[in-house]
Amino acid sequence: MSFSGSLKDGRSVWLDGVKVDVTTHPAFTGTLETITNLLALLDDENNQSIAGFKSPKSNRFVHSAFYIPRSYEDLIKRKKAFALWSNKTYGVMSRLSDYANSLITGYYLDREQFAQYDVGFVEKITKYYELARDERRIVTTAILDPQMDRSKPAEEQDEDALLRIIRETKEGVVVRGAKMIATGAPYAHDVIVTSPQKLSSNQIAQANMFIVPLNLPGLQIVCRESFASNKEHHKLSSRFDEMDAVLLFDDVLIPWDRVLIKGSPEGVLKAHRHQQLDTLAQHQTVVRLLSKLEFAAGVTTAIAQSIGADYFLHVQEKIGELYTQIDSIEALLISSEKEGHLNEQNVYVPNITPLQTARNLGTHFYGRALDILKQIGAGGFIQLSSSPILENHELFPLFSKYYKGAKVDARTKEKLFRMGWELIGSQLGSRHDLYERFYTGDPIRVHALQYETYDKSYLKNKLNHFLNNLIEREGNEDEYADSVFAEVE
Amino acid sequence: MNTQIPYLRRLNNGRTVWLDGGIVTNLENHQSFKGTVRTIQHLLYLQTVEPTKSILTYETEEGTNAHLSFLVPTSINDLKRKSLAYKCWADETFGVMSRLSEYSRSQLVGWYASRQQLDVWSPGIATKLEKLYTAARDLDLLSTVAAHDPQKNRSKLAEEIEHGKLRVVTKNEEGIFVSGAKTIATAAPYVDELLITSYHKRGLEEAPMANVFYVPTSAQGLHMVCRESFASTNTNNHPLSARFDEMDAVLIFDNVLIPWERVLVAEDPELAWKLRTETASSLLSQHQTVVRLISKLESVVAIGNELAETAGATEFLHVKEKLSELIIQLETIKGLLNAAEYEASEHNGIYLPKQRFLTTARNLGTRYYPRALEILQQIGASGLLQVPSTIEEINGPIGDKLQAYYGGTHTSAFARTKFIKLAWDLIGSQLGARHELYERFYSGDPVRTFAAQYQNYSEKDRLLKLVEEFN
Repeated sequence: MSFSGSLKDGRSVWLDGVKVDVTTHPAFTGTLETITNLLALLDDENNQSIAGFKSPKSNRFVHSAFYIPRSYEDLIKRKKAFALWSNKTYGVMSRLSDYANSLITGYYLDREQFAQYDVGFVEKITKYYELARDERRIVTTAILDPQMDRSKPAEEQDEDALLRIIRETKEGVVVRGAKMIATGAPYAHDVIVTSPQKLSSNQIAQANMFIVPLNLPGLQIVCRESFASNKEHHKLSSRFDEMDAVLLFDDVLIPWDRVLIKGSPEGVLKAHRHQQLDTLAQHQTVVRLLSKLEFAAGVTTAIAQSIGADYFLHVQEKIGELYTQIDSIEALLISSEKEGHLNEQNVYVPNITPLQTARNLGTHFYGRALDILKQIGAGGFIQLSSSPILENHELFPLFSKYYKGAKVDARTKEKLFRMGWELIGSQLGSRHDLYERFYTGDPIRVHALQYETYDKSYLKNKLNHFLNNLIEREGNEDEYADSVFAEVE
Repeated sequence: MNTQIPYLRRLNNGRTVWLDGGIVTNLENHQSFKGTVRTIQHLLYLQTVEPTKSILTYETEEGTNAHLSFLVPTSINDLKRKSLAYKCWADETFGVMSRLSEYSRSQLVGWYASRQQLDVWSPGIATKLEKLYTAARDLDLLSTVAAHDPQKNRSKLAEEIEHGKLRVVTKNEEGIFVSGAKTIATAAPYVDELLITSYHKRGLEEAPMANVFYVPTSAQGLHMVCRESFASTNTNNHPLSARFDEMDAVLIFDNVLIPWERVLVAEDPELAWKLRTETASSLLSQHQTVVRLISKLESVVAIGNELAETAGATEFLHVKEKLSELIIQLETIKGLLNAAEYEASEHNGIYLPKQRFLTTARNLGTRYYPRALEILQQIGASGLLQVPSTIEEINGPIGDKLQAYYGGTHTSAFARTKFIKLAWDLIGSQLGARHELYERFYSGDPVRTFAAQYQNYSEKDRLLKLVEEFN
């Protein structure tokens, strides 16, 4: 079945008040085509061994997010697959399933750790891992509870604020409630649903982990306003609006084989922690971030050069800063890969510290990159004609004269500024600014997590060594000066 | 290192060090210098005893031991060994001694390793470099660099200013005679020889100023004019200032003879620029600066964490966020150093770290360190002032009261005070202020070094191609 065909599965996708068919609706078809093309790389002779590997079961190429790395080289194989997709989408499609598929791979690899929370976990995740891998299923996540009253602890929240099981049947569990943000949900087959909260023992009904098919009856996929454009000159918005949705579970029956953890606050906490610290998945997010920063820096460089702004020292300084962003993230990526290790499951995992560092930097970097792009492009962004003026238009001679740049003609300059505008000014662009700040979670908490989990013992030792040596050295100075001469003379 | 002369004997070789209007004749007993002299002695001593001997030195082809800064790296592993040696000395000095000779030695190593290529440009330079290198390595000579013209009127073009810049006055068969000034010679009073280079690209009209040479600190007519000393004599109360004031000096040359064998470039703008931008020399010396930065940032994170822990401030989300920012600084620079080493490549038979990662680390450092100090202030807050004037008072007449009020969450008043003294020395002392200035500017005007990153970026064409393909 074609990818598009696989989405004609009875799902309820809501946009502008009506239920839509994502395979034909103009708000979705551009992105659908993009994803279709990316998946096609798995069947393309020149790309399939970069994008994927042969499934041991089906002998067909499947995505490398499911590839289990046993060595540094294997990890690089995964990286190349991530980079192939993220470079083709300039890093602006963040949830192309290679992230969530990596999460599935991570849960599968560490499955034994979850057996204590749910006896069925091991078997179910194994089955699902193979299914998702071999059927090339597109997966996303929906972890957060709706933003209602963040000041209250979980146990004081409104009953409807937290997704919960309301009854069980022979077929599965029936759930009610909402989850956000399911990025890419209209295009995905399944969604991983857990909770970010530490739940108490009287919140058993909320303490679950599911992998929910997005076409289940009663599951309403409520989209935000579409930022997709059908205008050809909106090159980003016409191809890469991945969409974000809130999932409303209006008494949805989830079959047992998709109920991975039921009624275990500890299990859910562990699953959430696992996701936050899953280096195979984090690895993908850093590869994507790098693509995006390279694109932003490239656009900024081209814009600066097109209007001769790069003549100025302070503009050079700012673009230099963009290059430090790229180099920092790339260095951290290389570092995480080279300093990886074989874990207890004999899996070669990247080092978490550089990845955490890169992800936290990313929450500041992208906003700053846009800031610099605005400072350099300045009024040029709103000096664009409402739509491109082409050769056969009566204004074209004037356009060529007044819209040209320092070293580029009017058309080239216009294209560059339109790209820039999509990054800084389009709705898609604004959404990405928000996304990078928050996709890893509340940035202040994710930063705090890095502090909490960082091994500070070597720093304490350094400090103690230094403070203690103070006195020792002070007391022995003569003896110690003598020894210097003894050694050298 | 059998051939080396004891450090104190070298120190008393007749160098002219000016401080507070007089010439300092006995550095090892002078209150402004003795702490740092002792520190350097200690560092040299570490080269002679295990376990540090194996970390700091290598065996040369002649079978003697030399400091690893002299090693010509022929593998990634060699670069890692050099890193560890740099780290060892940097850690011993808490990351606050920046010019422990490895930097200037690395410049020499780079030129020495590239001497055959340089000899094509300047016949005879290879032999000079061999001699200089071998002497520095085998005598374990300490050195520093001075490259800049004195800061006078920076808004004027270089050619408009006649006076003050170091230049060749005359020359004869013995060598060149130079007069004028160079700045900033960090650590000059403590070292054996000075490497004098020409930082800016010069035109032919400035040929007399386009020189590169080595001069012993004891040279006749060479005056080292120190800034005010930031050294303390009380290690307990000023643990950094009492031991690590590396001093900065302006070098004034009053018709100083530089023998030809020590002159690498004389009155040759093109060759001076060639040496200044020589790849191996730049990258090997930059490598050391990044290792040192890591050591310093480690010290900062350690202090930040201890400040927060001993004040019970780690409960606050925003404090944890700030501490994580310090960790992120440290880990970013570590990542860049790692990547620079792992991605090292061969260049005329030697292994050089990858340039762009070093450049980024150095540029980030100019912004990181001031920000790090700001965070330390925010976390330490009034606690940084809530200490008795001297640590000895904890056991003084009202010691029992001080002990009751000056403790930390889990540390005694004595331990907390001792620690705060250290933190203050980094944040609030003259030495601390000088370090903030140093990090901002030691690699050059930061606006220009960031701009240079734009101008020289190796990936620029690739980025522009991305954009081209997009349209």
